[in-house]
Amino acid sequence: MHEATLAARMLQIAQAAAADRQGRVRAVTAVIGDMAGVMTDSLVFAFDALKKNTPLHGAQLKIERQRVLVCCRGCGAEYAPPGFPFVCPQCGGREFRIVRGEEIYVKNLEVEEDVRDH
Amino acid sequence: MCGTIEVEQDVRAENLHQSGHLREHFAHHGVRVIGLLGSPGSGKTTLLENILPALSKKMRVAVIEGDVATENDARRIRQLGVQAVQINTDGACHLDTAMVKKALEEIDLDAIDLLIIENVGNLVCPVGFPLGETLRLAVISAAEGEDKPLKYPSAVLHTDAMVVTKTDIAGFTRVDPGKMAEYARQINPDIQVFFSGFDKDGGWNGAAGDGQSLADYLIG
Repeated sequence: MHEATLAARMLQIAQAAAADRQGRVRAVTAVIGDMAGVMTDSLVFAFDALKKNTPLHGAQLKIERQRVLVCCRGCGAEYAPPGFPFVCPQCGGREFRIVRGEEIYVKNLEVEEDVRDH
Repeated sequence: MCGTIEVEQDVRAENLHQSGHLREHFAHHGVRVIGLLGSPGSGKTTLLENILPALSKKMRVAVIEGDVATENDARRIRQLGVQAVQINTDGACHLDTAMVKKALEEIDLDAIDLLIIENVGNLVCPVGFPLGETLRLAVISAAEGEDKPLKYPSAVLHTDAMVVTKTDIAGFTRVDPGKMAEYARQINPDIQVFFSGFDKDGGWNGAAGDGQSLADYLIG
């Protein structure tokens, strides 16, 4: 996909969330669905290149992959399909709704606390 | 001492949000919007050139053309007497809602019934960036290989219909268009499939499929 654009947006989101603690962000954790069409290596490469001239230059991008989970539209069973075609293991139905596996979001930030805060 | 700031923020949220706004905006003006996705050279603009005369007879149509560079596609559409606005993304691999909004400054939505948005040639990136469309079409040519729907599952999963183009050269590229339809339905059982091609005299077949013509399907 367009990993650099996504990395730039992630940096913006992280900067806004960290507010006045941007310089102490040690890690940014992002969740990427297996069907989101994102290459993890390329995303991390772009993030590392883009963070350099920002207060988040010390932050490491950590990726959590989310496997695909679908809900059968026939019987309502939730299952993790091994690959296409998606066939419900309960009823054999082929109609489905994707529950997880296409997301791209910033989950949280790890921030080093300033001792003066306590 | 370390702390955690919970964020839980979708990276594509802004576009999704704006896409919802665009959808409402189009509905408010009674405009039906068709999005076209497909690889470079899949025949998106050629398909439009052939189908626009039939669509224009029944509806007032305008087209937004997305390309990395040149005004060529908009020029092709204007030759048919249809309004076309060209967006050049200067390298970006998909259109986004901000680009479409800018193009809409040149289109009077109250003067049209149907808006067609042809995305930048790309079968991956446009999929996750909806533009408020009523219907999305994946355009995949018989020149690209039989298993394309399996190789680009998201494109087939998040579109309402697939148009297999260049069926007239399928024999030369050793592709069975029926097989392409079968693969697409393995990914998306609800997908409508149309087949577009030309006869020996250059006549277009009207992109028939699933018991109706593509024009009738697009008109709704």
